[in-house]
Amino acid sequence: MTATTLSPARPSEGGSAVRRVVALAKLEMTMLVRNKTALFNALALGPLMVVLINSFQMPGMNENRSAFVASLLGSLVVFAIVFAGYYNLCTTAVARREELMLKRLTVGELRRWEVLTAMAAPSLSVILAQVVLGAVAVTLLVGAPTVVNPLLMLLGLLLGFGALAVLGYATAIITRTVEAAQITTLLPLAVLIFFSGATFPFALMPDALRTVAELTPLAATNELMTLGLTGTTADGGTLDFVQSFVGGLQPTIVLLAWIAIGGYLVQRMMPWEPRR
Amino acid sequence: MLDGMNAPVITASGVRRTYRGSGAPFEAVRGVDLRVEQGELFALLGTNGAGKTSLLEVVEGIAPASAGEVRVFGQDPFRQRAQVRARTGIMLQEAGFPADVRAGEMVTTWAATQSRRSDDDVLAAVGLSHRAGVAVSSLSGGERRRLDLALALLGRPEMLFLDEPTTGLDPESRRDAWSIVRDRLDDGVTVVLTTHYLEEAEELSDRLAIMHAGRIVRQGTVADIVADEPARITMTIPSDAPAPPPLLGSTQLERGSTGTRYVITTPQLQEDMYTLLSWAREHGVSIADLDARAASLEQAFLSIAASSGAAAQPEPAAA
Repeated sequence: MTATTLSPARPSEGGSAVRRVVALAKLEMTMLVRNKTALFNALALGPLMVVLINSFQMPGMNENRSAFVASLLGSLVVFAIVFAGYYNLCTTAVARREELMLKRLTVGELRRWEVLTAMAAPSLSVILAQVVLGAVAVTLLVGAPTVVNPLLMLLGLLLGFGALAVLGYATAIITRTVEAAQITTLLPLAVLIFFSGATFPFALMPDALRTVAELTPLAATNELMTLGLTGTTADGGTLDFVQSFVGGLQPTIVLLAWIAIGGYLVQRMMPWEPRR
Repeated sequence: MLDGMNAPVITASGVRRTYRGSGAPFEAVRGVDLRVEQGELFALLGTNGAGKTSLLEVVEGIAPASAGEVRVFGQDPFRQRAQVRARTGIMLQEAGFPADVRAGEMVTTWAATQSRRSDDDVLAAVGLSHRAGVAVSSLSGGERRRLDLALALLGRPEMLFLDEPTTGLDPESRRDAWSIVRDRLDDGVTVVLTTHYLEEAEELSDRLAIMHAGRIVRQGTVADIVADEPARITMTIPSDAPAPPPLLGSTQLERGSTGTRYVITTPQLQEDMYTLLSWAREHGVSIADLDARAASLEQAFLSIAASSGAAAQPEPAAA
């Protein structure tokens, strides 16, 4: 009876959940690194965008350099989490479902949220790399940014990624194939980016529209990034380190709410095997 | 147990499973009672769409039962998933891999997600050691099936669920898979297996159940199930021979060029054979193409499928 001589399975959680997530995340990272072209494209995107945006000599850019740097870095984070986060995780989830990998994972010890967490690891790594490389490019081309509250920036990046990742998985609920993801993500992408504050200035929006825009996850992320970098609020006020935490409260709550809403939808409705 | 039987590893009573899709609800499992004992191999047979996989998924804890109760190791496999899963190995009828993953990586990853560690070389056990570095997309269908089996064996589960484990395997690999399963049985592992190969069920199972239209219609050892089925005698008697004696079984005749072909279906094989052979010797008749055989599992299976065939309903693909 060799089977019974093994150490008995402990139903303890905690450490074993981390171990399971790390194991699967490692596999996802292996696949990411294996695809050299995609990896290069993903990493080159950050610095490339900085170079590109910097080349448009915008009016007022030289007078208020710190605001320009902030908006550049804000845009970088916004585009990183929307494409490498939202879009990428929607297609990854659909691909893993199509190839019946998700179904396989339901028969192991991994829980569903553990699978989704592990699947997000390559996305988060790519985003962090994009932001770091982009920040290096900004420093070289425009100058080093002065940071008011780096913790707030990190919080914005992580919560923003979390919200967009969960929304990517939620979009996978209504996406049957990887090809279909190009269509199902189109409207959410347009809405998210338009209201992000990175493409269409809030100052030009009517008040009512701006109130709505501030409730979208990309705008909240952008706000936390800007606040962390320069201490300036969306209304143009300037805050110091301590005040910036208070100013960051609303966008933090907005992002947590999106994580809760998306998480609920995914938990209730996400199919784990293809519908045929 | 008072009666000296082994402790049950799986018990199920009144299990039902209903699919509620866009159309009318479909009941794939319609009240199943099961009892699988420690260390036995229990085979679940049935026609396509009989509800085998739907039932298995409930017992495996992948899906909850719509009604009824299932216990594996005394626990609810769906609600107490973590405890039950650590002790079971599951090979699904259909599961995939990301195309870029290599066989060895898949094994390493799967092992690292399990709470039980064993350093068994499962790839070697299924004869895939030499393919460890190959992308899963480059493996043949049979090799992928063997990788599925290897993953189910990881962590030395006390209970194995094998859903059509040898579909797509060549005869040699199938025999290899059987010997792997037998080794586990020798180690005291309990196995639940579904298969379309009746030979496989005859070869491996201690007990089996035949499902049809969501219900278990026959259950027992191969001998139990076959015992209810009549035996068959076939023979050809020359045209000039006298008429054969009356037999206990029923006879069908076909006239051929060299004589008359008899197909006799009988519940009393020994008795009818004695009558026939005595008659042949007495009258000096030389019987051609004589064949007498007890019922096979296949015959039992086919007669069950045919007798309730009209009641068959299609099953959704998810089942």
